[in-house]
Amino acid sequence: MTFLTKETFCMKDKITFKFSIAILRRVFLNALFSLIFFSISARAQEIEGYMFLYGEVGADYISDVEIPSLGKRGGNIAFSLGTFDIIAKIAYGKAEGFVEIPITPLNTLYVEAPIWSSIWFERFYFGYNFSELFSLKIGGTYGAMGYLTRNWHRAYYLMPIVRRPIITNAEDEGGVLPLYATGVEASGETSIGEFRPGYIFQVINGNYHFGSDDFLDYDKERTFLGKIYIRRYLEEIGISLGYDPFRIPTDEGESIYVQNLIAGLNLSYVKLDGLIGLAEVFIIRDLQSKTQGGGGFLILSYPIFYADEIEFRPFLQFGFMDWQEGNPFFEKLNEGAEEVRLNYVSVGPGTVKHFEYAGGIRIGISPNFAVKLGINYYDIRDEKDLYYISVRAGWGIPVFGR
Amino acid sequence: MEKIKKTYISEMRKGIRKLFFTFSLLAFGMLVSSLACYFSAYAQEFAVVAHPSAPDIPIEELKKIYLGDKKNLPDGTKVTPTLIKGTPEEFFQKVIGMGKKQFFQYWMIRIVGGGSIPPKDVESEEQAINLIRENKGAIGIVSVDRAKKEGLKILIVIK
Repeated sequence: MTFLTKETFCMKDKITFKFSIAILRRVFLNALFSLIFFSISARAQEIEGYMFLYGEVGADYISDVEIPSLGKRGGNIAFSLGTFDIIAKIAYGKAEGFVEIPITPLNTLYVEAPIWSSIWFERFYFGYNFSELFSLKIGGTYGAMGYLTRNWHRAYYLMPIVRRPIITNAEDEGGVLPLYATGVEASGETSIGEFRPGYIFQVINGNYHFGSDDFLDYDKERTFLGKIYIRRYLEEIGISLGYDPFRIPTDEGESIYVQNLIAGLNLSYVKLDGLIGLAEVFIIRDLQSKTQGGGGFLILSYPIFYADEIEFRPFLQFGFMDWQEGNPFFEKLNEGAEEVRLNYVSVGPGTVKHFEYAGGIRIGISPNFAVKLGINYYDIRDEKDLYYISVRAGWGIPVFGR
Repeated sequence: MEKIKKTYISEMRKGIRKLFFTFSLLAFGMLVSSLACYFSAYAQEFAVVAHPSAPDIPIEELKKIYLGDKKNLPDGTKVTPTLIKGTPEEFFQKVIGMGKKQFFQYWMIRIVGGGSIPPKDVESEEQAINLIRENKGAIGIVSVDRAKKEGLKILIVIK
């Protein structure tokens, strides 16, 4: 026989209470999902959207790679697992939602991170198109600066090149431009014949290296980015401007205040059956130290011949990055990932003074599949030069579209 | 005996000739019908069509619609471009100004950039016609004969 003591009675109450909460939660969730399901069913005819999978695998011969944690240095051939992305968009009337979820293996030599951290939201936003001239997005997207980042950032297989120019690297690869933009974006376009002049304006969390991340803005300093452009389908001339204030923490427990003013120009000529020419240049000036840095790139590519509808498209790529001595932003990033808040960095050059030269070929087998072969040579100032010989296979396939 | 043998051989030759003639006729018939089918298919005209009450849409506007740069018809109706399976290359060359392969590559780039929704895929002419009849903003590609029969608005004929 079991006697109900005060403790066991309380415990029973607690269990019952938890059980009730669990049932309520389940009922609530069921109701919510049913509501969503029936709303979607009812409105199915009015919902548009798509889902795509795309990714890349490959192998590199790296001329000389230093792995400090292992104390190893030397030539290395490596197969890379590459990337795998899920991209989806749903539009209902004037409202839209967009998500991009990459599943990317992290380099465990550099990263001490749990496996789930290799899956994240690359872009995730909700938007409302009030009119052609004014759309509003809230969430995470890419910074408005330049053309290549915003249009082709992760779709390696679509690009004629094998590796992105270093100036367009993401912040977690030592990139200097604000690439990850979590905040609010206003944009709009109009039509003048075939041309479409437009604008993008973003108010986002502060500098991703030192001041913020996807969730928090540590130093309460906002970043403002904007771009005005004229485009014709995939071709574009654009002028980008940005203001990025933040504080770099020092070893003494103090901080250096930086006010980066960013200016960029892009000339992007994209004929998919002809010449692709992308030129971008950026200047980043710190208003506090009155010093500046910057970089740019030029990419040229032209299909030389077709065989059974397979396109053979060679490319040439040139890029550079440099800065004035005493610029705290560039110098701090140049010190490396160990010194800044970032806890991971990709193999290869990060923020370094350099010239880059690349050449290769993209073999477009279908609109959904391409193979690329290329060599990237980095002439790094004050350091040993570095080169990669790479082969890549990339693909993109639709899962659904309506 | 010799005579019977000769008659037998002669009859066999006649039989072979008849068989050869029959097969030749059959082959010729098949060739003619195949050529007829080929040329009729080749000569089939396609049309870009819209709802009977839709306004006129010039070719430059159709290009913008199919490339995602125009989302409404001149009268403000939301536009829904469709692509039927096996849309002829001529449509892409004459209306869009690029090859079929480049068109799909273009849309892959737009999708990765988070851009507009690509044209809706339809499985058959029947499906395209039904969609256009039900939706004032729908545009599709069907054969000219069928478009006339169904009373759809022909925007452009592609030969």
